[in-house]
Amino acid sequence: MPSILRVDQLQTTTGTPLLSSDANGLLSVSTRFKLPNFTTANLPSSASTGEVVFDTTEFVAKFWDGTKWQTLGSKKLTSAIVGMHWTHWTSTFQSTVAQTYEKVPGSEFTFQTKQANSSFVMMADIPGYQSGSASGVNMAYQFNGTMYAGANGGSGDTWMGNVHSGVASAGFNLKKIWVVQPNLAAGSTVTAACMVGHWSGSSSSHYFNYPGYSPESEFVILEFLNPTS
Amino acid sequence: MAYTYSAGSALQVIHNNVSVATAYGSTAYTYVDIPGTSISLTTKGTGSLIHLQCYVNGWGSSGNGVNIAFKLNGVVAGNSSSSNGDTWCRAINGATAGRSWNVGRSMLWQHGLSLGSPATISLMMGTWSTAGVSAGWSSYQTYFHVTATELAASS
Repeated sequence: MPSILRVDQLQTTTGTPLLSSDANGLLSVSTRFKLPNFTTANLPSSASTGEVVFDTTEFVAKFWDGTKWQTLGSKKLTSAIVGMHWTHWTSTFQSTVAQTYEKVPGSEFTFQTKQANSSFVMMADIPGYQSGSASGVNMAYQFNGTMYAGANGGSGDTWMGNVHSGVASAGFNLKKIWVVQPNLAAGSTVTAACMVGHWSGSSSSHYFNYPGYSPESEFVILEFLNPTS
Repeated sequence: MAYTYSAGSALQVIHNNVSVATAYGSTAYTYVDIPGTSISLTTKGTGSLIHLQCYVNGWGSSGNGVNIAFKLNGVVAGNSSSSNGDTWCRAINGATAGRSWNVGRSMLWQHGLSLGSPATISLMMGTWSTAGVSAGWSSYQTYFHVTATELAASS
């Protein structure tokens, strides 16, 4: 037999307000309200039109439109690129030791990571000049003290970036792209720099940003974290 | 599942670091695959754009000319094999002696695919004439890279 409960307020056993209604029948939730949870696979096969649930597989609210479940609104996603870090320098540098990468002082900079477990695309563009008949230059990266994308020594790659071999008095452009995935926490401090090296020639044969001619170099680090959904 | 993004937001970044000590050879006036450079993704947005970036370096024993192309779902994009093509057009053409070379390329791929479509990207190398031109060099460590950033087309 049907029964009717006439109240205008519901409270917890300790007196905290839960629900209230006004004279027009407006129902207000005093604290929080949780929709019934279902996985996508376990959503009811039919429901009352307008019935609302929460899909715990897709993390969205859904309503029954009379024939099927529809997503309520849409999910706003953040960009996979979570940070841009860069530096720009005009100071000149000369590599001194053959077949050995050296840090370019002007390229070094420090930043804090934006997200935990993010990855970093390192991109740089360095112009320069090789004087005389020296032979070969290249660049690499240093990320928190570790060198990436460069190999020292007689079987290394310091000759392979440009102006090898025996190219007399030539300008060059170095660039390289490399990704590191260091699994750092959000807010971690990173120190990064470009490194350059040459294959042969004297310590005064290779200029990275030639002095007196207004060259400019750029080092960009793109921090990204791909969405999991 | 419905998602919304601001136009230009990066939906995903897919990359491939390639570290080799091998010389990958070439064929005259023809783009050929550079092994190991492939990346694959599943599109996260209908009508999105994919920004491609790559870096390759190598060696040519004379002034043979070299260029790099992107291969997008099996099709060479924006480059032309043949003797009146562009295989000479990026580096070391016209040199009289051996040269190391590097090529960095950037391209926006308007793929026209719908959400959830597979996309495969790889790098190709073309040379004007073949003698001694290679990506990388045997027994010498070298590095290539390719990155694809999918960008939302609309909000």
